[in-house]
Amino acid sequence: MDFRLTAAEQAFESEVNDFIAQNLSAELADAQRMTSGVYPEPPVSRAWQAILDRRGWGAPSWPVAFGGTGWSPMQRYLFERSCASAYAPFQHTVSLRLIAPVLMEYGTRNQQEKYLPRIRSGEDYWCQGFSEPSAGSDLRALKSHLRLDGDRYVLNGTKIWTTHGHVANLMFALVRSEHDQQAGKKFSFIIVDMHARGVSVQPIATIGVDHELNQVFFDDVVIPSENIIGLSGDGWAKALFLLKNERAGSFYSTRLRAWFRQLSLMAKSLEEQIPSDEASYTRTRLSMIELDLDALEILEIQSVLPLAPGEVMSQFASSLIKLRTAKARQAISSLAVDLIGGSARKWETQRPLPPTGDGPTRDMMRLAVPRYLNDRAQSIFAGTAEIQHDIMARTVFQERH
Amino acid sequence: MKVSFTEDQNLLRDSAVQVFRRVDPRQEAWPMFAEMGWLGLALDVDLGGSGQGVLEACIVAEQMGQAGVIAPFATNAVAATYVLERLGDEQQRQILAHVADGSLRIAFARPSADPAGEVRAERSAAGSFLLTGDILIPEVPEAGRVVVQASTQGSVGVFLVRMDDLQGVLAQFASIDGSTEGKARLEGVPAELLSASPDASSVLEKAADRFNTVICAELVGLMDDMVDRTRNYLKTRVQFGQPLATKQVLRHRVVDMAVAVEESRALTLRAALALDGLADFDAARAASGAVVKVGAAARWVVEDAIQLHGAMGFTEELGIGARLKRVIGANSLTGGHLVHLKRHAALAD
Repeated sequence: MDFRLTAAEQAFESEVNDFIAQNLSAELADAQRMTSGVYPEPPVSRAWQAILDRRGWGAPSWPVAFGGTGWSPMQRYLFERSCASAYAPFQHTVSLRLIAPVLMEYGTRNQQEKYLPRIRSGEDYWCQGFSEPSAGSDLRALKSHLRLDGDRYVLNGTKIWTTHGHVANLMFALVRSEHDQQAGKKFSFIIVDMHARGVSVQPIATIGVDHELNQVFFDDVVIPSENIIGLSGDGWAKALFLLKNERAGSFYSTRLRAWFRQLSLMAKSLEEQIPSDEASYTRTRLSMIELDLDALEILEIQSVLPLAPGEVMSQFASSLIKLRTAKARQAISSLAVDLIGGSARKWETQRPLPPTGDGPTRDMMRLAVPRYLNDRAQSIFAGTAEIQHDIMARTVFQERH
Repeated sequence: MKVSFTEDQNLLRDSAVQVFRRVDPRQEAWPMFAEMGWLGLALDVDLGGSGQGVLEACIVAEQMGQAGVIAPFATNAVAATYVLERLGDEQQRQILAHVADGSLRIAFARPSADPAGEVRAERSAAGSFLLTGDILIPEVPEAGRVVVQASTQGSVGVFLVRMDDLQGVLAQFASIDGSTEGKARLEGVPAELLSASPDASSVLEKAADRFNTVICAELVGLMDDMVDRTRNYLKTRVQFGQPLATKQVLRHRVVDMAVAVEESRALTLRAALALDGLADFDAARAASGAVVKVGAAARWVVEDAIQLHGAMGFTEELGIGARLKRVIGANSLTGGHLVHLKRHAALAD
């Protein structure tokens, strides 16, 4: 065991850092820095996506055969770490890491050739259609349904909590397929054109004010048969594959480090304005958060770096990382709210927060409350903290998953 | 970067698992530590050791904690060897071979809490040193030498005292975790100087970081055992017609305990890697960080183990209380949560 970078790893890291220094504009980095929600605004991430794609780095997690970099987990780690610490816009996970692997594994050649290059270039922006009003943690309860109508299908129903559904041009969705009623063959995994007739999107106002979530309605939406991924009725396996892959190799700790650095800088610049006992209390709270990040970073590195291509980490490790990432992020934004004191009452409603030119400390103070509010969602989306506990309990109690 | 254990490290862990499975916690385990070569793990090959590091000592200590064995392993294997190797002259370093083969145990004195008892060293007519002051010696039984810090002519020196020379002034008493501690008022006790150089105190500080990290590893093993035992109990204990292991609120609590084990193991590993020069983290900060999190986690994990065992957990017979006492004892040996939280915060850049 040796956590020092080899000469080759250092060289790779410098190459990435040089590229970022030459190609990441201050505008894009500022836009990421000022992001208060989960994802940066699509024009921001798409612009960076296009820059990376021109360099051949658009899809760091994909194999070379599909136009990816074919990087090892170690190279991806170094790449993500450098990107995160420079505040490079967050690449769009839903497109690159959720739907793309499903297309690679189960898609037809036509589907792969049509969609994968457009994900890599940033041209297509996908959203996820899993949850429904009556199917949250219990995905099997979903009701949206597909009906066979000659050589095509017709979709009715609704999807909810659709992140960036209002800007995405494509959705992948898990729906009930009424024509396939044998046991275990009741769901289909489909592609929905968000601009198709019968698709409507309604924003959901959330406590952090950012418009990220939507409800999507399907009213007799025609789904051509080439928009089914795999076989009709065989969608559940694809959904499981996607969920298993969901956390198969992102390095969340790298982003958390960047947020933590912002928090520490803000704390430092506010230190002179507060009594010394409050300052030392703040420093110990920072230490406690940093230690959680240190632990998370080691756990993430140890879970992801040894993975062979296509291999996923254990469900326990995956849930552990999800749980602790959410917790650490909430701890960061929580301390930020405490630090800004009376400024917490100021209520800004424009998103993204417009720059004021008052310097980084002022900007971080303005971000504190929106982030704190938005971060409540961290322990709810993609499997609540309670669901993660249930999953981990099966490992701890030595039961079958 | 290599993030997995080497073949040798895996073998070391496997043999530690085997050995501690056979060990009787009520019997003296020391000869076995020596036989396995664990006391010389972190000692230079030229001095009779196997030239490995804190990481390897942590691998052994984790299994020791899992088995509930209490022994001055950390003190000898990573602290005493380190101090003598760095501060001793050629002749003084020769006793290290005896430390490695288990025939000589070393203890570390702690200064008395009362400033009036501060240890001072004076040169005797014969040219050697005589120490005066109060000391506490944890892990005293069978120790042959004790390392003592004493002020000498405005600076601080590190001295080696023979336990034989403490006859008559040493009082022994039982400590919370079943080990024995000593207390002595020195009045002109002869001592051998290891070093009076200004670097000596930084060597001692580093030795303490190494000791603390290995103690953290022991606590990781101890916590892991608590998760196993609690899980097993909940699976077999039937109430209201069902095993307690079916209750979600109890399941989630055991998960939180298991998460604490993983995080504690990660932070201990982080400190060990830094101390061994195998990572770029600040070693002092990483070691204090491990104490902060692991010490506190061990406390509440054992507390929860007692809680989840119900009244059984509160009995002396079940033995979980012995683990809680070890945690209290260990946390006091490392300096504890508050001291290291303060140090961790102070070392932030």
